[in-house]
Amino acid sequence: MFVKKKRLKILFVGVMVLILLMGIKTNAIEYKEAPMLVELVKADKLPPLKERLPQKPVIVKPLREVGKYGGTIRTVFTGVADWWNLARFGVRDEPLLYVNREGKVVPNLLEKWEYLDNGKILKLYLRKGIKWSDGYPFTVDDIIYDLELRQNPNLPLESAGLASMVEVKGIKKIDDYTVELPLKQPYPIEFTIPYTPTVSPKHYLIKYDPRYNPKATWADLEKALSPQRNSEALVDKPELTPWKVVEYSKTRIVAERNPYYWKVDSAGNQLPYIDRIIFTYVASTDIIPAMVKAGQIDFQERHISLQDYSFYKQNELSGNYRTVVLQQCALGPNILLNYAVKDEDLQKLFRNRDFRIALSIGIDREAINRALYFGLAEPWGRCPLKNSYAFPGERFAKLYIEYDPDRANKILDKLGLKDTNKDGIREINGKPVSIIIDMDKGGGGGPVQVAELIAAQWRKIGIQAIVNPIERSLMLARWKENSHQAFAWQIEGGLDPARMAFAWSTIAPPDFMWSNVGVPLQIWEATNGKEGIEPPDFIKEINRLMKQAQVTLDRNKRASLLKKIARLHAENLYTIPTTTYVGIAVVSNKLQNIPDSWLSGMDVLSPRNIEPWQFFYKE
Amino acid sequence: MSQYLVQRFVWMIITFFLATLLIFTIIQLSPGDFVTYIVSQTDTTGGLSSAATKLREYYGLDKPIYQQYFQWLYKILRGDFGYSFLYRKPVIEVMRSEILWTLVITILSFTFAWVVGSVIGIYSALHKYSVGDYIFTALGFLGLSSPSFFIAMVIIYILISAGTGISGGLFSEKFVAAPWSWAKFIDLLKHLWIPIVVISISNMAEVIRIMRGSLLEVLNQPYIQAARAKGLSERVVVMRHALRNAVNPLISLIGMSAPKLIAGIVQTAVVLNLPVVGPTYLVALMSQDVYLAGAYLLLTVILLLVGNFIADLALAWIDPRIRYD
Repeated sequence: MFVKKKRLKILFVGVMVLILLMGIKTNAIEYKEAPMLVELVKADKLPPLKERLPQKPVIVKPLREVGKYGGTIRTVFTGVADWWNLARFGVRDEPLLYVNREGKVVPNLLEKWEYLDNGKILKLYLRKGIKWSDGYPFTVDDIIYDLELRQNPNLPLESAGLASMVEVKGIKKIDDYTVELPLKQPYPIEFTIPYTPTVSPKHYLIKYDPRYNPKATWADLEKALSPQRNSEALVDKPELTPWKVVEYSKTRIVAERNPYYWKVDSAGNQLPYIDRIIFTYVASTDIIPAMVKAGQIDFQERHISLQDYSFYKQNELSGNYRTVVLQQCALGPNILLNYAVKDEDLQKLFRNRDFRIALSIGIDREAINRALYFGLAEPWGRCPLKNSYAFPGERFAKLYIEYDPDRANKILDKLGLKDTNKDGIREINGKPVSIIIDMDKGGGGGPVQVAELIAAQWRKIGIQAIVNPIERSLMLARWKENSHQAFAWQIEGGLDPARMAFAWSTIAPPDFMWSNVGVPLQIWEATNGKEGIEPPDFIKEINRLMKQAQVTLDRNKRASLLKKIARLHAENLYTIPTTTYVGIAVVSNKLQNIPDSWLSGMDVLSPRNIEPWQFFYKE
Repeated sequence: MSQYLVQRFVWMIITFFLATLLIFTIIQLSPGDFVTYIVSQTDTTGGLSSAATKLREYYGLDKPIYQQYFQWLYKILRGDFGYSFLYRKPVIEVMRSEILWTLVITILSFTFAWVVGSVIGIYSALHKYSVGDYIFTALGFLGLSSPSFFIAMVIIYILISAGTGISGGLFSEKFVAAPWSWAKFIDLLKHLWIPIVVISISNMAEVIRIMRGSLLEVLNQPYIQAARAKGLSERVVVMRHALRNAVNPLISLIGMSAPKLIAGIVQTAVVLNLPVVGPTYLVALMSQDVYLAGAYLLLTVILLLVGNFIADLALAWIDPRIRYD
């Protein structure tokens, strides 16, 4: 009897708990949706919200408060090639994982991932129940299909990032949401962040794929994919993003909320809050300040020039917006000397550490900061940023960046570089010490004035620098034939040098020439020393460590390797450093849930890192 | 007369072919090609450099230059201007929507410039060294020497500072995608006058200078004195005797101005963000989208040739001395 009573008690408690749990469960699945979607559901044009959302949608905690539905964000784009603009806002190419506003790598389409077999196999687990914007379920087939396409010789697609690491033939599909990708070498998945995600809507694309549809051609498939290009095809192509393109013309692109978006806020409202994003075409970015002042832009981070900072500040009232100063993930334009420069005297000098120190302390960084960055940047050595896991300490960030022309002159005197003909420029073997600094005249690598200021400062230590502003494609051509002496460019990877290894070592393949310090150095590395030109010893050491970091999956171990690398960079002045780098954005005063400042750049693909899907308008 | 026509026509055809050769050479002169551009645009993330060879093959850019030229020429003769790499569309389709607006804006502004310019020119010639003449001459030089895009920027700055909310373009935001209506038309007029005034100013200055100079020269001729001596009214002297002979340089100018219908508004259109051919041409040049850029240049050449041909005809029709040469 006693036992029975106890059993009854347990039964009772059990039932209560069950009821309670069910109560919580029914509470939790009462999701809400935007008014414009409610209409569609009522008209039977769209299945009810419950069927569109996954069973467990991703819950997003809004930055400040739960928002309201509605509104349009107006912004600008610069044409067909400006596809990153759309991708970074969340209008195309939803990523597998992304960097959030704290700078942390977080899974997105993925639920989680793990490495098997000592990092030789990457096992991906997708979130269950996510649907494409046309309602078709998203599965690992869409990833496998994409990876295969990128290996296809008939399609000129990007095959960097994950696509370059996966052995496509060995891909093993476990079930619809789990897949095992065999890797050529261990590869930290966060390295894929700056590349286009390897996800494509298979169910849609096979209509254009000649392997499935004999009437289609490869050109049709390429058109439907619209890779790294804006086009009309985006109107029909299903996406997994918060918004998707519904109207496309050369003069503007309109994107509307994706009714199948799989994230909800902490109150159960389906995201995004904003109904629509309108990208207006501008033939020249010079018109943006006028549009901002006229109140025609609600949010703009890309294409905004820091030089217009004071203009934006002055007109905040009339345009009803605020100007946000952003910390760039890249370092400000450095001078990248070509360690393989054809002129032998110059090459010898460039490879001399004392010479590089003299060049570095011959730069007045405060003057650059004041003249070009409104004092918003900070003089910074050849070193990752403070908020990077590779930051080796304050000492290295400040190494050889004090302005000391007297010491610089002494060092150069000691090196035997004397001004024999008294023209103010030192000579080496009878020739003046003269460095030509190339620079993208379109400002791609940073403001051209940086190089001009440095040239003027170096004159005081008897070094002649000639600034050569040229077209970007011409710069590439000059790198390729190794005819440049030096160039100025911003340094990517201030946050994660391993992810942007090309800017922190010479291990990039020779045809990838961004941030090179001499392409023959990359050839030497790629051919194991058979061809090309041997790098200085410290770069060889950096390369050795960087190669190790590339295959180190453990973040802490990678951090300690990167700190070592960073120290080598700072002590040896891999490039001649200048300052940190700032950018600006303008944001309508009505737009909410936007932080006071954020990290900007390719490392974090801003503004994706501040989660535009939780922006909203306050009355 | 017919010999004159045939001669002109043959020269026109020869010039056209030389122009195609020149255009193709000039476009190819800049280093790299469309693929280089694409690679340079992917920023530092692009793995595209590895796909560069694949891309070149895909676009046929790996073929020798002369082969690319003849293929291009062959297609043009059949009315096919080629394919735009950037837009993945036939060039004609890219240009179609823009050509209409280009013609609307340029024809309106040219008519404006010519009508107003001629009237002012005649006035200035007849009232030589008067206050009005000095004012118009000064304004004319100002218009001739200020770049049109700069005038455009000044106008935009004034409009925005005045709080009109107009920052260029042809429509306000709410009318861009709206169907045609009276309100939309009014909105268009509010925007359209800016490019028309801006483009007109420099052209007008030219017309004023030529009209004034030419008319002054003619007014000094002995036959004008003879006409006056006959006791004809000043109106008849100017309108019937002087003006007819004075318009010759203006008609040649029309022929020379024809390519301006396309080329004259490139910078202005970029500054004012107009949906005309100019900005697209600029992008095509920068991105080395050869066939698109080539088509624009070709169109300009065709306009120049046809314009000159028509001007020649008109001159021959007006002035018998040219006809019987």
